[in-house]
Amino acid sequence: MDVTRLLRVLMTILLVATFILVTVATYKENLKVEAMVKLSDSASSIATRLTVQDLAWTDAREPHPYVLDPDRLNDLNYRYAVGGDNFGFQVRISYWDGGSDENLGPYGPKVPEDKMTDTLTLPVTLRKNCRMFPARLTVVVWHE
Amino acid sequence: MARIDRRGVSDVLAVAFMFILLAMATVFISNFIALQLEPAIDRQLELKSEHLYQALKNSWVMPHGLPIIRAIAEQLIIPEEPTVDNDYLASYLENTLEYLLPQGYGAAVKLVYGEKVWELTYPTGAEVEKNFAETGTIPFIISSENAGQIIEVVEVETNVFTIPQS
Repeated sequence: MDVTRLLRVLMTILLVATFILVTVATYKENLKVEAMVKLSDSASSIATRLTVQDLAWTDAREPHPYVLDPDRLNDLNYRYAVGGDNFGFQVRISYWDGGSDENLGPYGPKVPEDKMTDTLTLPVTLRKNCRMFPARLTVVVWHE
Repeated sequence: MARIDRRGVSDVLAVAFMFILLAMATVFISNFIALQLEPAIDRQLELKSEHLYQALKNSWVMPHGLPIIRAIAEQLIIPEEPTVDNDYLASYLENTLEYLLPQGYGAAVKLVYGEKVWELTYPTGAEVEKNFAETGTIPFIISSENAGQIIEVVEVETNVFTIPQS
C-alpha cells in the first residue's frame, strides 16, 4: 500500500513538473514564432520601401518604382524603423546580362551572428549603363 | 474495479491518462503556433508575384532593348514583323524566370489579345501547390494611314507558384 501511495505522489509531481515545463516551452516557442512573423513582415516592408522609393531610379521627371538605381546604394541609411522598432539590414543585388551573373554588394553593416535574421529575395529591374537588366534584390533583415 | 480502487491503481491510471492528454495537447498547441508562419510566407509570395510582374514589364530582352512583356505583346499584335523572334523570346523568358525565381518556385506568364493567347510556364508541366496571380494591361498605340492612331490593349497575367517538394 505504501509503495502505491509513493508511486501516486511521484507521478503527480512528475505530471505537474511536466505541465510547467511544457507551458514554459510552448510560451517560448510562441514568442519565437511571433518574432519570426514580425521579422518576416518587417523584411517585406523594408524591401518594398527600397524597391518603390529609396533605391528607385529617378529620371529628370519622375521616380520609376521597381527599377533600381545602383548609384543610390552608397547613400542609403541601412537602418529603418518599422512599427516603432529599429531594424538593420544588408542589401545585395545580382543581375543577369543575358550571359553571366553579376553581383553588386553586399552593402550595409555586417550581418550579426547572434541575432535572428530574415532573408528576402525579390525579382526587380536594375538600370545600369542606361540598360534595364532582370535582377534579384536580396535583403537580410535583423532586429536591433 | 473495487480491487483496483483498493490498491490505488486507479489513481495511477488517471495520472497516466493525464500524461497522454498533456502530450496530445502539446502537439496540438505546437502545430497551432506554427500556423502563424503560413500567412507571413504567403505575404512574401504575394510580394514576389507583384515584383515579378514589374520586373518582366521593365526588364529588357537583350540585346534588343525592348521590355520583355512588350516584346511578347508584339507577337500577338504584329505577328508578321515582331522585333524579337518568338523562339528566342521564349528561351530568353525561360532563362530569365529560372534566374529570378528561387528554388521550389515556378511561374507562368500569359498574354491575351482578343482571341490570341501567348503563354509560357516555367518549369514546363510543373505541379502547382499554391498560386499567386498578378494582372495588368499593356497599351499599344498603332498608327494606321486610314484610321489614324488606334490604341490596342493586351491583357497580362503572371503567376508565381510553389512547387511541391518531393
